[in-house]
Amino acid sequence: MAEKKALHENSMWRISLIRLRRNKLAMFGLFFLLLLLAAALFGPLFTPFERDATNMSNIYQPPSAEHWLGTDEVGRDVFTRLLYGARVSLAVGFVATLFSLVIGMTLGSLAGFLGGVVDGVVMRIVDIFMCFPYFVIAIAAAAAFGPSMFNVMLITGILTWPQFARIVRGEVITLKQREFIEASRATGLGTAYTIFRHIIPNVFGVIAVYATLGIANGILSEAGLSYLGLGVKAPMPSWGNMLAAAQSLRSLRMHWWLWMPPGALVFLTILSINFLGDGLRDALDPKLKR
Amino acid sequence: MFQYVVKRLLILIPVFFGITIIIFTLIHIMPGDPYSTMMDPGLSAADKEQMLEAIGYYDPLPVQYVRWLSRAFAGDLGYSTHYLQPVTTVIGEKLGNTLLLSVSVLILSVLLAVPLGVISAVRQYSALDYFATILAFIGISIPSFFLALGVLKIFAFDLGWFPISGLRTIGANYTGLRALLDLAHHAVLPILVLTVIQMASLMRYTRSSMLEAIQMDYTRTARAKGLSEHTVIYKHALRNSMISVTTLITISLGNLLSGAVLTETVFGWPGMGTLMYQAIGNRDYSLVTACALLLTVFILLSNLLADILYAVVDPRIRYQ
Repeated sequence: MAEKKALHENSMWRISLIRLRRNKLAMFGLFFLLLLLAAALFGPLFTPFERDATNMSNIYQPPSAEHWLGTDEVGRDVFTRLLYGARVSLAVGFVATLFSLVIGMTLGSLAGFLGGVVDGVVMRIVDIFMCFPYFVIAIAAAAAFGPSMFNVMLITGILTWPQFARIVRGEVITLKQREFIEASRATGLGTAYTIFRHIIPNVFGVIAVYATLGIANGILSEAGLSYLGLGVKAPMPSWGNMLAAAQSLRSLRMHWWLWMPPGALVFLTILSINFLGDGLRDALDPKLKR
Repeated sequence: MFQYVVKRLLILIPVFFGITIIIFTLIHIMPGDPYSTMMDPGLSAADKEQMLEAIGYYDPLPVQYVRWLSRAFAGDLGYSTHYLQPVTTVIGEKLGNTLLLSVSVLILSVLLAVPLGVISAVRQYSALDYFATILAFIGISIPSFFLALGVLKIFAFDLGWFPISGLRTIGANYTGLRALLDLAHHAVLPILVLTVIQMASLMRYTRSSMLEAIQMDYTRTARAKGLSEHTVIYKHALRNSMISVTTLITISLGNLLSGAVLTETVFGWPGMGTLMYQAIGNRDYSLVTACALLLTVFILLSNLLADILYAVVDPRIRYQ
């Protein structure tokens, strides 16, 4: 409660919010994402079909009044699976970003705050990860650890933390010289306390922007890996493994309803996240506003 | 300058070892015995074990790593267990195809994205700016393989304008100009897809870098001393904004190569991406390792090149 009140009183956040509201593309993004989230959470409760219910006498049906987006190679309702797939794809995006955030923020703030050898070592590790060709290493890692939803989350998180580490480190180095940090240290408060209580809240704005964009990356990563058969395993549906239907040239050519809807959803979701992320950046950082 | 380059190179050394260690370890925890397809099925289990022992399959990982790395430095990246050829031979054929694709995409995207980005910035909030911005957002957001699938379905299957996959028409045996045209015909769709993706971020970046330059004091000075708007924008602002754009282009070289992985597999383009994906399926360890290593080292070098170029065009960097 107290925090909520503080948020209202804090004029910086208020101004940011007003600025964000004026950005039409960002509002479109936010609206689409909320709609998607609602559909993913509650949609499956209302569909008349089960996720994995097969019907061999009703396969490859084009969209109709009964099956809004047709049926697949074993007669499952595509629309229903798309809704369940949204849960998986969004979950991968969120959890992967969470992994990435935790690793990146911890290492980045330690490197920036402590400096010296710790900074050197962490930044070299960051350099190493920044050099990796993202998808090449993701494919190799997915092949090594085996295809599963959790592994996709883990691989994405491990490959993307360096960007958070870099940002947090940069911010920490600037913040470190400010008086309130010096005061915290002079009072004898510990490193961890100073970082989490005084530094992290101050870099929250920048982090929020990149975390938003990170979710897009997680969704993209899931789609790519599952499309190649190295991600979420059937029968659990995800947008990526539904897209894999297009691996069959016959389906690519004739059964557009199998792969176009999940692909379009991945695209629209990432587009919305990018709109929102861009709007957030403009809203939170007046320096960048042109 | 010399000092700066040496410093950059020294930083690269630990990064290089880190990269090779991670790639090597990753490839070696992949399940499955890569040599099973190479051995005579009639051999007894004991003989097989003995052979694996002899080639060092059971040596500790660090030992294998050192052996692999010292051989790699001598130009020997191992032997492909699937193609039964040295890895360098297998990659050599495909690398050319990937480079053909990447270089065309790079040239095209720079030629299109930089002017568009500049005009977008100069005429901020014009119809063209909005159009370019929307286009850039689409390019940034669409998964490359989904765009590839859509393009393939529409232009190759439905309209029949372009071939469905591969590098050249099989069995046609064209020569000379016909062969070249045939190759170009096959390359149109992959190049189109990769260019759209590649252009997007470059255009955005050029736009914001140009916008920044337009606001700078030196631009105001140029205007104040009575230069024409054309000279102000295209001589003063543009040249300065190109400093960071050059860096981005150089850095994107590596990303372009690795970004082609999925697109190549969709179009059946016989390049590094398709090769690596198939190599994973075939458990062809040495080949996967070599592909990953090659692409990573390429990125490392393009980053180094970007750093050096940056210092060349902007002397302030050298003294930091």
